[in-house]
Amino acid sequence: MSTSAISIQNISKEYLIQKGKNKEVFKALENINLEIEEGKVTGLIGANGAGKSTLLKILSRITQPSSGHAHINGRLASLLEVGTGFHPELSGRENIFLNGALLGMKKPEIKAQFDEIVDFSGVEAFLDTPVKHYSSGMYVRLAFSVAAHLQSEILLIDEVLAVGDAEFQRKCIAKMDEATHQQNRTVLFVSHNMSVARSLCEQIIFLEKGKVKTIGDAKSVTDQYMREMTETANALPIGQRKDRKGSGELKFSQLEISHPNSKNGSLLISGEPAVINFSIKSLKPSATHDLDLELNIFNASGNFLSSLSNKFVGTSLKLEGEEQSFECTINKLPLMAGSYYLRAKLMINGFPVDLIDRALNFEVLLGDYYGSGNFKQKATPGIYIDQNWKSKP
Amino acid sequence: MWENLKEVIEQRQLMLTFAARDYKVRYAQTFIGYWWSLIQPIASVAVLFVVFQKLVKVPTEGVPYLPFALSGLILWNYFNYVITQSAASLINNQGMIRKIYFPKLTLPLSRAIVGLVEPLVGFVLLIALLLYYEVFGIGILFFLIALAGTAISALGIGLWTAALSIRYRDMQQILPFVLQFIFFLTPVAYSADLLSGIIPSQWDFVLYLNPMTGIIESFRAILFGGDFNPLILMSYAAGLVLFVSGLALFQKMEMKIADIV
Repeated sequence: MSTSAISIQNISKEYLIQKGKNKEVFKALENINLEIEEGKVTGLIGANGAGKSTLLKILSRITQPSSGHAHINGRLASLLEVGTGFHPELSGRENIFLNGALLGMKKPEIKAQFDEIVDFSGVEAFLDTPVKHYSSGMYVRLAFSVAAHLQSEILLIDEVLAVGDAEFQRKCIAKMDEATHQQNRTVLFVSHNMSVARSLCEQIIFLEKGKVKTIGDAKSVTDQYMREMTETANALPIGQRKDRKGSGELKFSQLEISHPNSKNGSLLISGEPAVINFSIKSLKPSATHDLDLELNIFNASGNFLSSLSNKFVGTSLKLEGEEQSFECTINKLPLMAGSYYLRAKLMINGFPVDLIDRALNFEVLLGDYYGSGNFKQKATPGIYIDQNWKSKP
Repeated sequence: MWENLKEVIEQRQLMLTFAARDYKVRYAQTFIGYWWSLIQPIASVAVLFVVFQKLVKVPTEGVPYLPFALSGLILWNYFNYVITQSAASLINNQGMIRKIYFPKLTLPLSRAIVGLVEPLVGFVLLIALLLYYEVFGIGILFFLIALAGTAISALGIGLWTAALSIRYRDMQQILPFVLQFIFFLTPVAYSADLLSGIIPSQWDFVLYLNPMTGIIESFRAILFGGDFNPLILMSYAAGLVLFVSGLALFQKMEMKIADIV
């Protein structure tokens, strides 16, 4: 029987939000009861607005629950956003001490680990430069390094791995893994990336609309989450969906992907053509808009694969009038057999106008991309790259 | 309330780190840097000298005008700085407040610490003037008590304003006017007798409800000799009441800050 590092009892959190003239109660969390086991990495997943961040904020005492309470067993540190509390005018060295103090580290503690922090961040050459001159990557690396060296028994992390380059992400994951296994540290970790969550977490909590939906092992809960996200995405036509961001002057009113040859029952097949048909609707039909479209392709685990964009290929698309349909043709679909989704993003003059995270789910069936007659299914689908092999004389 | 003060004491290192940060940042990218700490008190006492001694010719009961004005100005400037800075401290750090837990009280307190640089520079200047005019005495040590009284009163008002600013940003707009108004009601450039001469004597106590009136008067009475008006005690009491009530309100609002800012 393992002990709990965090014990959450009946926590609810309500916000009053202004809706027109009336105030409305919004329940961010409702009667949450959880035991977070000591020495384990626990993941927290859920759609936007499910209450993941609110829960972390309550546990880190930034905000108070409306009712219920949490019992925390040990020293707790939280990293909800990388680099908060960094002062742009101060040097990297000064910011390490400032940030460390903010996260609750004592000065001797920071001094003892100073070299290690600097080494891990890889910014030693710029240690005495004000951080306002840092690139965003350096900034993130330095900030995460400070937090990663915190000697706390419990660490709360919110999405910080979403930033930083891939190599640094791997370093962070390794560091966290080392921390939990060697120092028996408890980590509670919010993620949108299912493959990171799966590789890192021993247990996952799935939140939905402020309630705990499922608790279980990483694989089964992420599977359930991805399945449900797919169902949500398919439940409503894209024009009516509410889970979108952006200013909203223009909207995707239709989006579908199919095989142009209806003989196949419009199923998508690797190596064969595919057509994305979509329509854009304008709320201000009088103006002409120069569209900047991006359709990002993700695999089912939430890993970015590639991007389709009219600006990439140098095609100008204009919307005149109220609604117009467009199409994007892929001559030879380079996706291996598997499940994917598209993230639809429409920008005008660099500003996001309409953004839908899981705009469209689709399946690709096994096909002979290279036309060699020799093809097989892969466990983790990826992309095909045209290639030529030959032996040199 | 004492629990929170205890937490702040435990986190004194954070407070000092904030203070060091603010001090460095304050003069970052200025051409003459830390020299501003010296120039500011000299410049402002020079203004008072020209306006109130040369143009208006206010009476100072035989005390040389420069040390007289500087003794009040050092305290007033500190009062003004601590109020303005601590009043804005929550709003200016909202990004941090929403993402990191730390005792919020460290923010206004660290401002009060950073602000100490100028009164200490002013204090050295004042000693030089007192020696020059040959009015130097052991009473100068009372400066420490006056400075502590100023810090407590200013933090009191600062905590009130900071807590109210969370919901009512209007406070930030009103504050400069209120401070300017209080400046004229405080015996900085002239004596309290000059002020109380204007109003009926039974209303004198109103002047002393302003903590700075009594604090500056007591410092001057001890420094230059003079009557010790018993109303001075009321000023110190008013400062203390402001501090305790401000602290209570601040701590009540502290719980809600992250949800509002």
